[in-house]
Amino acid sequence: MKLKTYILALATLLVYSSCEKDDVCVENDSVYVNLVFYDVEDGSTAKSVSGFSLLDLNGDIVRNYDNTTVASIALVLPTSQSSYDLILQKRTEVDGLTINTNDTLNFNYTPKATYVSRACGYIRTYTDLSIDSTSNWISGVIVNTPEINSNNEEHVAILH
Amino acid sequence: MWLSYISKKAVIWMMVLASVSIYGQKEYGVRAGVDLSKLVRTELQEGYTGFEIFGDLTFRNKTKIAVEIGSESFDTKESIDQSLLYSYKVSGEYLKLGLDWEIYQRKPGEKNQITAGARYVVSSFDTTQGVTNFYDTAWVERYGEFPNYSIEGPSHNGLSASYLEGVLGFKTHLTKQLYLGGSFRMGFLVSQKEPENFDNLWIPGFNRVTDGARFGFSYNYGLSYYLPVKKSR
Repeated sequence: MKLKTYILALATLLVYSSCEKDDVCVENDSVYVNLVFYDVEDGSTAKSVSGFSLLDLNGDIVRNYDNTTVASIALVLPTSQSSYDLILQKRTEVDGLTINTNDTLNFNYTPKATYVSRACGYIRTYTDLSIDSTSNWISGVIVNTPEINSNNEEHVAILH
Repeated sequence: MWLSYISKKAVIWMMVLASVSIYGQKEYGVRAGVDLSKLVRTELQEGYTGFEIFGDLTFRNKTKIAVEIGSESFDTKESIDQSLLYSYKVSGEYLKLGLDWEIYQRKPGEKNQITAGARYVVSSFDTTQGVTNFYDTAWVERYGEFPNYSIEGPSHNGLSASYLEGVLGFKTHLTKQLYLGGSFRMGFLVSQKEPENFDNLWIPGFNRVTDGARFGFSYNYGLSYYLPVKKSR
């Protein structure tokens, strides 16, 4: 009788514990810095950009948006450093000639790896984001949220 | 490191308990054994090394004071569909102390046993983190692997856990004083010292720790030598 009771207790606990699942990662993801383009005349109206590229400081192309219209860009800031420079090169056609206009964004931030769970491991977030910008075609950069820990927000507004 | 301060205290308590129990007993038995399953697992499973010795004091009323001392190390990783998330290595020791009762009515002359029991376990261990990647769904979709954060993670020394264990054991009599037997164990985490920005995902003696649950499952299987002792008064 003792044995039966014991096995029953063990089986009950086994069933209870097997209901816990820890092998699926949901509701968590690494964060991208979301930069959204706005009209400088009216800060609340989104204004897309067409024909531009993202370059690094050496002039190498990071990403090309030649034939597309872009409302926003999602960026990964390198987590091995706390400062990052990015050139936004805009192309305009004047009398059949292509003219490139460059603006450099300097990002300062603290990268973070936060442990979530066994299934997710670590996610990437940023804190203390600030951005300095030159102003050739960009008129201003506004950091809406310096703490970047969700992908569902407009973290940065670029006015042009 | 082989025996932490906590374990030393437990050993002293065990010896006091054993001495008090033996005193006044006319007849008792001493068992000592080695866990073969951990040696086999060491050979077969990559990243695992383990060793355990166990013993008990059996009294005439078939109550046993049981102890297991072991050392385990597990080098493992978590991945999603072949894409590595992170790797880590846990190594440490444990000491299990408790009681077993024989719950099977033996036939005359039979020496096989079935026992049920409970243990209190202390485990002390170190965790070293290896490669750490970010969980990033957009990135893995585009590049087929997770973006790297660091090649070598931090080491967390002096971690510990204590847990209770329910044990269901059996032993088959081989020949003379030799027995072959094993046990199934279910652990229930009582307390643990966790690493910063990480978790105790595997604990020596306890095995895998499930997120949000306190239960762990383990087993042992080994050869033991039983020596009956009779005091003449």
